[in-house]
Amino acid sequence: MTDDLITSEANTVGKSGSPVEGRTVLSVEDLKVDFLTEQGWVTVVDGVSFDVAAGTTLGIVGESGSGKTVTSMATMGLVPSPPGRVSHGRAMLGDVDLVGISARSLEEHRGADIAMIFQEPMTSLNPAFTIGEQIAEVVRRHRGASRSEARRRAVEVLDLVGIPAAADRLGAYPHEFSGGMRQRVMIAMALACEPDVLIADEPTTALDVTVQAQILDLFRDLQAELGMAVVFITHDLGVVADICDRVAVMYAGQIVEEGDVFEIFADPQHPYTQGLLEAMPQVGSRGSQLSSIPGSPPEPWAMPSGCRFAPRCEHVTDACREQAIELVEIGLQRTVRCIRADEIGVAR
Amino acid sequence: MTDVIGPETLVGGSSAMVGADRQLLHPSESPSRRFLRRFTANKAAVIAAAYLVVLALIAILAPWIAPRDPNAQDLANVMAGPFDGGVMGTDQLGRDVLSRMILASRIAVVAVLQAVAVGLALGVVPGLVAGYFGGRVDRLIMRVNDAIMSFPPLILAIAIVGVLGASLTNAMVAIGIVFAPTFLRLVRASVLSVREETFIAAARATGTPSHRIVRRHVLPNVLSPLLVQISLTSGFAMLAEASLSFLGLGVQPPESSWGSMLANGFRVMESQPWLVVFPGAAIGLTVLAFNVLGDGARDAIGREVRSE
Amino acid sequence: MLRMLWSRLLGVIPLLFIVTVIVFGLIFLVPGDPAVTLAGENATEERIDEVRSNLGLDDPVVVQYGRWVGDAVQGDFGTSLFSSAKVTDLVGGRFTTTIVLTAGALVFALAVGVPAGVLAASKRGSWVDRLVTLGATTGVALPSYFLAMLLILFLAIRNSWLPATGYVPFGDDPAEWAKSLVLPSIALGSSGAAVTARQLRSSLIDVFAQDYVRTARAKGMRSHTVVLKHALKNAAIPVVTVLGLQISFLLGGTVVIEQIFGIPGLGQLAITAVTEGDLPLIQGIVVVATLVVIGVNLIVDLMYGYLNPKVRAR
Repeated sequence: MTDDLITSEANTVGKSGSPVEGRTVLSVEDLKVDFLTEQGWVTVVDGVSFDVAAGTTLGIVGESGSGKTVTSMATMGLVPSPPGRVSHGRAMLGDVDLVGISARSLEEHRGADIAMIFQEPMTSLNPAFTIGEQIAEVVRRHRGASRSEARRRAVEVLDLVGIPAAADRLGAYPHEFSGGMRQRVMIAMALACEPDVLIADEPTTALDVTVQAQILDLFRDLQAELGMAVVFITHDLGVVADICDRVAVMYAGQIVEEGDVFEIFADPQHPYTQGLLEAMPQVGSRGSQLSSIPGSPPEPWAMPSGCRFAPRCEHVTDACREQAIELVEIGLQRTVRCIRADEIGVAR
Repeated sequence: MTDVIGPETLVGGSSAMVGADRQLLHPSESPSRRFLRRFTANKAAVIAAAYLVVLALIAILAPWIAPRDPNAQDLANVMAGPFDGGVMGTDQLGRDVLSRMILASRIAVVAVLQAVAVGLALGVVPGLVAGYFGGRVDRLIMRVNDAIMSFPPLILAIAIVGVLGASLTNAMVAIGIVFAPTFLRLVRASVLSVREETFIAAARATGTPSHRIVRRHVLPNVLSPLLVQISLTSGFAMLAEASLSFLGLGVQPPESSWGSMLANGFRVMESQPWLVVFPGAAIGLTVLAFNVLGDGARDAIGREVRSE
Repeated sequence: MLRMLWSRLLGVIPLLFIVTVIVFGLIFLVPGDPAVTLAGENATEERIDEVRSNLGLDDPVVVQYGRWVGDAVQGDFGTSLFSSAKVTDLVGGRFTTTIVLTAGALVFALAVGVPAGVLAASKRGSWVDRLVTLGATTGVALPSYFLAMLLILFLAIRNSWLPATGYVPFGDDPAEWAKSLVLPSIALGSSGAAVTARQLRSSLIDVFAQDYVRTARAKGMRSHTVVLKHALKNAAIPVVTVLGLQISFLLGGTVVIEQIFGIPGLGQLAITAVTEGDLPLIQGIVVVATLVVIGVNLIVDLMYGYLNPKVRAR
């Protein structure tokens, strides 16, 4: 319905089919993550839930510190402890709860059924081992492959992610690759065992803009080819518009709005989402004044008791400050955490 | 869409990662107060400092607090155990071990001071010169320094003592020479790290003479890592002095140091083990105290010092 | 890799030049007329002349140095002032024993220090960590010879599990030879073990915070693989540096340890040379010991190449 608008606004190119296709493969339910700080235990991810279906991409958007990275780390069981702990919730991968199972069983799933790539391609690869070894060891670990089988698979996936002359590059070390190429290697490593879910934590943020576009194209192609579910964490709404089917906006440790990417771009309900969209440069209006949200997010140990966005919100009323705001369903698979959503949605 | 600016750059929020050291508790205190607070919070370092102060006092007051003449022999009462004759017993010649230990502490302190003084004298100035002027001077100094560092320290010290003649002072000069390169490297590294700071550039631009820049601006910055290194080096010097004296190349009879007492006790260790336990423990504790003090000071300064 | 080795070897040449100048220069530290002093008290005129000609003291300094280095390069460090034996032969006869002892100490240092460091870093803050930290702090401070005495007292005298002193040549009885080296190796290697454990602990803790360790966990590698493969190879770099420096201290330590355990090595020879004022012998020993250190440093450089592929490329 709003296809045309979005395409022109964010200059989107094609993306994978319908918003919800296939079965749900990853279901995160009411996840809470705490960190021990000088102020005691503080909750940095507070009751986050989302589902991702096979063949679709869920974008999680937010500023740094909003809890989006910690959410993904908790899903992978990678929250450093100490100082962190997952105090509540589940992360169901099929019928396995990644939060509840033992560390040893979790290792069996990581890299095999659910894989992750990170923001920093420059430091995420081990400098002391060849890339061939780093990919092959995953295959050996999870598939019990022999060394030669694992090598073959490494060549296959390097080929898949577009590393030229893949077979000749197996013996190369990470420092011999550029940032974009290293991120391709990371992706190859993540996909080596054909996981059901791929979590990508700001995979393009550290890259040049042209390289960013290439990596995003690669993501799209790979998803079309392999059909895995992708959780794409980013602070960049342009990227979301480009490759996501659904989007969850995070603010101060909570999801404040979630829904189909077209609907959210066309009709954002939460004032924070609105602010983010307004801050995005519009094609054709380059150079014009960019609006931004005044103020800064609350510190996790000093959360407002009512709406967490209230101190920065232009639509704030006394009711907003009274009690914590619930995430309410306002449509089919469309939720928002704002008691004035129906009034201000129109106001925009 | 490639150069979309994300909200992160625009919204202007700066919520850093949780759990980082935010310096919230003590936002505005002077560096020396901060050093003192952090240092005194480290119990081990405080105990080490107290031990060394007591040791220094014992060394200074040694002749007056030693219960007996350390060299008086009592052949009727040899190799007595602790509390049989004197608090720490007696040695093969019936000499009071406690009195000898007390006098030896004076030797130890003097020896360490000598070695550190020689090391500083030979290390600091070339280090300042190499770091401050750089270029060819730096390369030459570092070449020589690398060469000295490739000698095994104790073997070089033994060789130097061998040609100078066996005496405690010669031994400590030798040890000082051996440790000078450590100081040199440290000073040079510190100078290099402050050389490019703006205040130095400003001082240079206004035509301040080199020696004044070094004294006013460079040296104070070098001082705290240097103090840490002095403490650690004192530990090494203590060990080296004991080694040389143990081998008979350091202190000469009738004077004794803990190292020579150890050598002396070793011969009769089977029948009177206390004769090695007391001096051995004294060496170990003192070295430990210097190391703990140095580590504590380094942690309190809050900067990593490369000690090699 | 080979090119790196070459450039390092070339870098050693100026180093060796300075080392030889210093060692040769030791003669200028001899108080008074070297010939008189070195000949010893109550020496006859003939004896003094003999020493003077042995050392070639009448020639200009540069000629003296040139001759000394020229011979040294061919493995000739002159003749002992006292036994009239070739310095090279004296040193050669003792060299292997000392190297074996040093290697034994190194093996002990690694065998104890590496597991201790890995355990402490993996279980940071636990009682294991505290025990290792305490042990390492003590181990660095405890003089090797004091430890040697305690070992002799408890393991050789009170319980005769191992020989206290005395060295059995390998040719006589390999089993006894090995036994006779156990206590000296432990005594000499303990501070190395402490240093290794400390350094490995702290560098592993740094490496554990690296992104690539997170990557290894994220791809489901078992925790011991993450630690022993991904982290250890990177954490080993500073440990290798420290061990390289440790070799110098070990070689020095052999002097005392050999004295205590009665092992006829270079260290014992050094003591004899120094007490007799046998300058050519002292010089020979210092040069040989320093060559060992320089050789070890070359090996350390090559290990960097293995551990850190970036270095190799340069």
